[in-house]
Amino acid sequence: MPKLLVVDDELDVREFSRSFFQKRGVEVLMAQDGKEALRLIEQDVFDLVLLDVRMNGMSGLDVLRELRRRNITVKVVLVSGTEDEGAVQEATSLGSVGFIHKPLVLEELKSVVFSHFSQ
Amino acid sequence: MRLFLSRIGVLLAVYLVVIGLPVWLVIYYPLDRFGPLLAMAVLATVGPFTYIFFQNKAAERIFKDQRRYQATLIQASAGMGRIKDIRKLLKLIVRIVIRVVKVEHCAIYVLDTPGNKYTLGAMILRRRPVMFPASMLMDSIFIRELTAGRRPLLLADAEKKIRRNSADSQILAKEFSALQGVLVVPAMIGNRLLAFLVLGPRISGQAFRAADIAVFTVVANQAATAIENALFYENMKTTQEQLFKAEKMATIGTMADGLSHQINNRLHAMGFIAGGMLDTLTLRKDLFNSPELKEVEKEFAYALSRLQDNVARGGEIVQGIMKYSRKGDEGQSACDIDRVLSSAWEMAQFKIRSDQMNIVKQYDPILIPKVLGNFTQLQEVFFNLIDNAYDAMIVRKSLAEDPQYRPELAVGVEPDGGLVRIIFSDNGIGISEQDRKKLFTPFFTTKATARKGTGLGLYIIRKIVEDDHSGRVEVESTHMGGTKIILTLTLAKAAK
Repeated sequence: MPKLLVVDDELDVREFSRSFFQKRGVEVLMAQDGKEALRLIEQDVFDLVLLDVRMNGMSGLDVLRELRRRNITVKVVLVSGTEDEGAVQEATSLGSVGFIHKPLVLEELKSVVFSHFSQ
Repeated sequence: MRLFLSRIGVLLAVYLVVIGLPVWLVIYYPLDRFGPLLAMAVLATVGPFTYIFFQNKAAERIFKDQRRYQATLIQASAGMGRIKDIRKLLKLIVRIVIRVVKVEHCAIYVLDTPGNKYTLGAMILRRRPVMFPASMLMDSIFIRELTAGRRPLLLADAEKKIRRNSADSQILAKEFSALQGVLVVPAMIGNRLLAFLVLGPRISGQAFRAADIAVFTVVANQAATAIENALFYENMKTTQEQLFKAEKMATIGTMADGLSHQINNRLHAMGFIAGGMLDTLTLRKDLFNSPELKEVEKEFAYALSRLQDNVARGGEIVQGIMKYSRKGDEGQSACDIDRVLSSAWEMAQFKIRSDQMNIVKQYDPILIPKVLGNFTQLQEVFFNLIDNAYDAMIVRKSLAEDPQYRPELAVGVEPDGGLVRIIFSDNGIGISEQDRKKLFTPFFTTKATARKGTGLGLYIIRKIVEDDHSGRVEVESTHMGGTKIILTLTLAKAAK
């Protein structure tokens, strides 16, 4: 069973993502901020992390930098509200595997997530 | 002259009596020697006093006009200085002139703020309807003559000049008579012609006297100072308003980032909620087994898909605002127009297949100069223009029913001194007269709902080109005849 971590400070986004992917045979864990995400990633092995860029406290990029510093490799797809080229470049150099833009339809998210699971 | 004649008249009349009476006495009473001598003595003594008395009386009548002028002028100058509203001031000036000397009509023209013409500011008609021209060009011979001469100009004098018969003097007289006046008085500040008064003929039918003209000159000079002050005040007010607007825009700009992020997050969550419900419906289709339930399922599914669609459209609008609020952090550099176009065309490939429209480059990619600009912003501008052209051409295609019709967007580049014009001409549906006025208004769109226009494209184009690049966006279009968008940008000097 593939394991997905959804990091987002929006309760609705976390819960609806979880119910959507659980129905498709994905084990989903949720984190509401960067600190919690880092703790879960250290404890567990995820096939993919969906990471919101702009959150209260640590940003998605902060989380990526911290993962890099701790030498943890995990596939991360960043979810962003802006098409910020600078952020895309930095995220790619920090090892993220993808970038998707809000607002997005669940179907789109599904195809992105599953394409990473199959790899 | 009048004063001189009246003095001669009084002198003659007085001395006719002083000398005439004794002579008359001598002739009619030749025996009386004492009478004429006495009369002569008395008259010779009284004569000068009488003379002075009558002379003063005559002078007083003549100077009455001048005194009236003076009184009006003193009043007027006090009034003019206090008025800061330029419209009101011009009306007052015209009213003063009409009060000082009764003329058939009077108008005032004032230098327009961009500074290439004089426009009609105020007028008063007393006798007959007069069509004053709305403006007078700064480089007209008439204005040049008035500025150079710095003196009031009479139509009669201009006509005299024609007899000297140069081509210029003929044009001068023509331009003069177009103004509908017989006398024009300049209002100067230094060497600058700020305004001028146009006066019709005097109601009395008499010609203007030198004294009248002198008075007009004084009024005009005072008016010039007052106009300069009023214009300065107005200018300051506009600057302040612009500053205030700029500050407001800056505040909105800072807010826009956070605000649009928040709105985007709400939309994102709503999209997930709708998507989740739709997903459940689809996965549990088996539960809806009766015709009534199937109907309900269909209705829900439709409503949820509409909700998702609206979320997506809302997201596009937010994206548009965010793109603008995050403007130009990379600064400006020399941009290769051909590269900007190619990358914008690449961006457009997500939406437009390259077999659906042609881009015709009407320039030599190697020879064209580079423009000064922000690459990402210019790419955004070009992308929006391609997108708009495509939409306009698709509509045209659906209407024309012409199998030969092929959507085509021609892009031309014309260097012009320190500027470069980039011209996008499509053969699409064009823009109606009515829509053209609202073209740059944010959220205005003509695109049918199916095409999903946000109404921000041209607004952002103008913001980027005019506000961030000090350029210009012009639109030429006829309905069904295609649209031409002309961008004027600055040439990048020492471009590499």
